[in-house]
Amino acid sequence: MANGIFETLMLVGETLIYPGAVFSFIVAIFTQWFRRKAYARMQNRMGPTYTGLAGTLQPFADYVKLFFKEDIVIIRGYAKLPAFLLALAIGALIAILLMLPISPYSVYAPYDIIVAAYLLIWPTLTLAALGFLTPSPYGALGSSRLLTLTIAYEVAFLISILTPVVLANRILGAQYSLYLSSIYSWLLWTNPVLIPLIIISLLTALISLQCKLLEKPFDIPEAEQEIVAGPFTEYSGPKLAFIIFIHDIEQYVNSLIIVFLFLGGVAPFVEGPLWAQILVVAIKYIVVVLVLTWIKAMVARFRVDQAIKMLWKYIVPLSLFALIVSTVI
Amino acid sequence: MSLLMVVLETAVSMFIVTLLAYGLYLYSVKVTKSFSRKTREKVLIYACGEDITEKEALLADRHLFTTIWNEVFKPLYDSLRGKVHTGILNDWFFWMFLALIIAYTIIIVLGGVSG
Repeated sequence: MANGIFETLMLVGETLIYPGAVFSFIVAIFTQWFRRKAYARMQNRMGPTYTGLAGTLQPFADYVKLFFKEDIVIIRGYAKLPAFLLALAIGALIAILLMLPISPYSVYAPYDIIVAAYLLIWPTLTLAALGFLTPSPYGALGSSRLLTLTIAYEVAFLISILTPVVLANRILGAQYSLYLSSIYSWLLWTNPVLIPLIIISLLTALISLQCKLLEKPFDIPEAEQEIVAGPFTEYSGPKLAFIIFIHDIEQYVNSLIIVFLFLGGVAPFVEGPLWAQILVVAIKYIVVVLVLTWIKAMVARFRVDQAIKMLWKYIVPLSLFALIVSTVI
Repeated sequence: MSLLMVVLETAVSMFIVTLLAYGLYLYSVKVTKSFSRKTREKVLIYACGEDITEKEALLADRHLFTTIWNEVFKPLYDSLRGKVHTGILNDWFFWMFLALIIAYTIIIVLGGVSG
């Protein structure tokens, strides 16, 4: 009985504080600041400067400003449904954090990768639904583009993250669990035969994640010169704050999955002190965010057909190749 | 821990955060209500300065994602169309026969038709 109450309290505490809502908000602010600063420096600009030390509190100021702005609902637009969908997407992303090793009381079971994959698709579907919930041509076009891309990049991302999960199961008995695969994934780097497979799936995961985050060259659904802000055109105030928060937290969660599944998580400090483990995960996380920002700064936007051709012609077959080889090797 | 428990615990976690986020949204709406001014222009559909009716804001199906798929996979259709529509009846029969064999194979692999 006491054990059950303790577990429930732990679950609620984790959901609300660490690694849940509060911690995610702090990391989202840091991630947005870092991305904006790095992106600006790559373009020979200063980036956020004034609010907080080196502009670190600028994203926080932006969130507060948007949160206390009027929520404008246009004619025939829905007021509360989009907000509820956005809240659900935030909930789905935070629930995934409980399945990763950063959580003190991790939630895991055999085959839980299915649950993780299901939760990972929530934000995409929410963002796509937003465009169809307002009578706006830009919203509908943006959502249409987003759904078109979804069919390509979600497949590629899922197949990419399945490769280390399958390898960890076949070689280390991780039982298709996200948590166990994350714990043992560093051992995959000790086998020279598996390294090419991990590298291929890491590359495909990074590119499909770039598409999932709607960053250049895949920012087609919100191409501002063509369709203003796509699905988000008619949203303002707290809803826009939620949309930006979902973007930041999606980057945080997916980058963390890449850190644990592909980059070995806490390795080389598997047996090391806690501070060293935290430091190494933070460094790997920053490297992933930096690589994604670097791609964003380096390339121009694809057309939607070019993006789909690239994803289906190269990224999906490559990730599928790595997955098939990992099942027979 | 079983998979069902994982589903339940993640669902509980999702539910708690959803309530929190939605509560924050409702709080924001309540706070901003006092100083927000409703004007006609604010609630009109944004169309880069153009006057647009609700009907015009709706898109025809041809602008939605099916078109993109058709465009991307056009080379596949084009090559198939060239092979099927040669004007020779035998060619047409061959492709139809092939389609029939594929359909029968799928039905047999899936366990046939009962009843």
